[in-house]
Amino acid sequence: MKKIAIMAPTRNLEMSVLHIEAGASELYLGLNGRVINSDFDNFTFNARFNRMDGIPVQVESVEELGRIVDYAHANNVKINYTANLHYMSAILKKDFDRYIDIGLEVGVDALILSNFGVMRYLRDRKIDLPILAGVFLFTPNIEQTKFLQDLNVDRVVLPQNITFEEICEFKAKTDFSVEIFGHFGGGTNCGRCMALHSPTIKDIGPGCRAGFNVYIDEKLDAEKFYFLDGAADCCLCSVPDLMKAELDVLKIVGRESPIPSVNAATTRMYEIVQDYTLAGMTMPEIRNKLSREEDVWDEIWVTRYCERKRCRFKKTPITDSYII
Amino acid sequence: MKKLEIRVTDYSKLLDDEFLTRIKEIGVDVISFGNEGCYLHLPDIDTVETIMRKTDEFERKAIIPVAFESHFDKVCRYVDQVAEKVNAIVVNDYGTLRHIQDTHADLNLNISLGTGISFSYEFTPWYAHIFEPESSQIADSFLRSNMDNEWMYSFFERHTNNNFEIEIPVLPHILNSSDNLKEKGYRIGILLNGVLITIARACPTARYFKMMAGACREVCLKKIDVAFTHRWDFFKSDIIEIQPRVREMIPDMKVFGNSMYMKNSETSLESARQKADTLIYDTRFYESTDMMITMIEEQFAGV
Repeated sequence: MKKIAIMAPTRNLEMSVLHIEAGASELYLGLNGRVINSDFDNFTFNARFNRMDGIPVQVESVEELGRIVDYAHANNVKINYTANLHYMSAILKKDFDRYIDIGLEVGVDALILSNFGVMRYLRDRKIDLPILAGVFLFTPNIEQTKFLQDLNVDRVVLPQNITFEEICEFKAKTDFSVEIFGHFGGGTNCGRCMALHSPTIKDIGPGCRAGFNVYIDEKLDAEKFYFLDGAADCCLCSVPDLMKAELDVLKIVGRESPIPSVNAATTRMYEIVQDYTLAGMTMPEIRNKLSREEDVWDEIWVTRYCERKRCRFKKTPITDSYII
Repeated sequence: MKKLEIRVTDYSKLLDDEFLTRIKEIGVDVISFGNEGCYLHLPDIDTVETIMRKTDEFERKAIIPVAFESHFDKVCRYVDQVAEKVNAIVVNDYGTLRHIQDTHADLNLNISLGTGISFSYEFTPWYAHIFEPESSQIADSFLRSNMDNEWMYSFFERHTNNNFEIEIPVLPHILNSSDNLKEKGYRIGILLNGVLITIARACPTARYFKMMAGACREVCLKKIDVAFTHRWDFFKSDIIEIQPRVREMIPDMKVFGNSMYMKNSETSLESARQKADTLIYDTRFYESTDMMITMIEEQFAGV
């Protein structure tokens, strides 16, 4: 049994150091669109806006990007460069070329892309860096990966509501490296969900986790109801099974995290559960150990994920609602 | 000549002679059945056979929902069974598109790209606010159809059979893409009733009614409206009430099964009628057949 690579988010060198020290073996990041074109305000060339709720999400300069790449490579950590908008118009071709070229110049290791047209374009430009087909491409079935084969893609990121059995199918029936969102993420079919987290109005937040009044046959039936929220946020207890399934990469989200040290603690939790598993411990034993030794376990994990039944691969009201 | 299409998810309507007679009388050319989001709400093959027998005066179109790996084989079997019976198939994921291309190339099926894969940032209910600070060049780039750019044209030309209808709803920016798409040879199907905001594998309707997905068919046709009232707060790990001014700017939404919609832009209706090759009315958005027919007669007259 081998360890699953943890891919962690970053937006600056400090956050990169925290995640690398916590055990990440890959980082993902993007560059602020304003570095390329001062017309960009919220938008850039990747799946996150430049700021979320006032917090920067992107690397703010080419120099900082270079420093992160150098530090990561010195620590044998790979850098995945995000260019994974749902789609992009060739109106911005010159700017997009510059965005990609900057990544190439500083030495990123792979590109995260989420659009077949963009993949086609970059392969036509003879860019031979590995391509990771991001979650915004939305790859719900193996048949779709035939297009990815045609485009010489290396890794497929599976949708957030994928089942454990489906992960095993992708591993068994394709040659792709397989990545999942390990912790947090959306509750709808991300990539084909336009209930986007608003960067301009803090009062909107991520639409898929919003509260709604629900009317049945025009009569108010429920108030303040998490109607869309099908986010299965945590897979920590399934890590031993995912290791047995030979999952390749587990992604931690949070480029917009207001407290990077807390975000890095998530990376650390997924890393140490793997270490304990390799040391021969069972998951109940690991949970007991975490409860004794890790403050975040009782303070965050138990209250936010366990008690709220946010398990990604266990039977819960959320996973019961999956269309299987 | 524009075509008039009626989309039906309550399949009992397609077995009802009176319904079929009435829609024939108003000039409906095409009947489509199925949905974008859930294979569990497809008609079984016996029902499809009956629908075929009763609707042979119409062109028929099967809508295939987005399919996950766990049920992809079942969806493909359904596609294989209906492919020879219908004139067109609407796909909502690229795997289904690939399957049809590789398996049914000989049928020369008309394929429509449904709004499971054809969309725009304009489908975000609060898109206008997201784009407010952006330049017109950036807004123009991102508010067009995701299919309307030279890179996607190149992808489709080189990797698919490239003979598509593209379904788009009535929204001002995405309609601007339709001229470019038509120039490239695509036909345009205009969805006149709703804009698909999101689809969820974790079905919100099944969860709301505390049912397992699969045992929820009885609630799938329920009329559910939702109003956005609270936002998620990461620190509290809970939701908090949004300000009235924000609440007012978010349109109310409709839910059918695992798919959520908002209303079309009425001010763009005339432009949509002009650009459409097919005008598509969805029965789910009408209280009754009478109301739908009245609306069609008003809107379709003179087209």
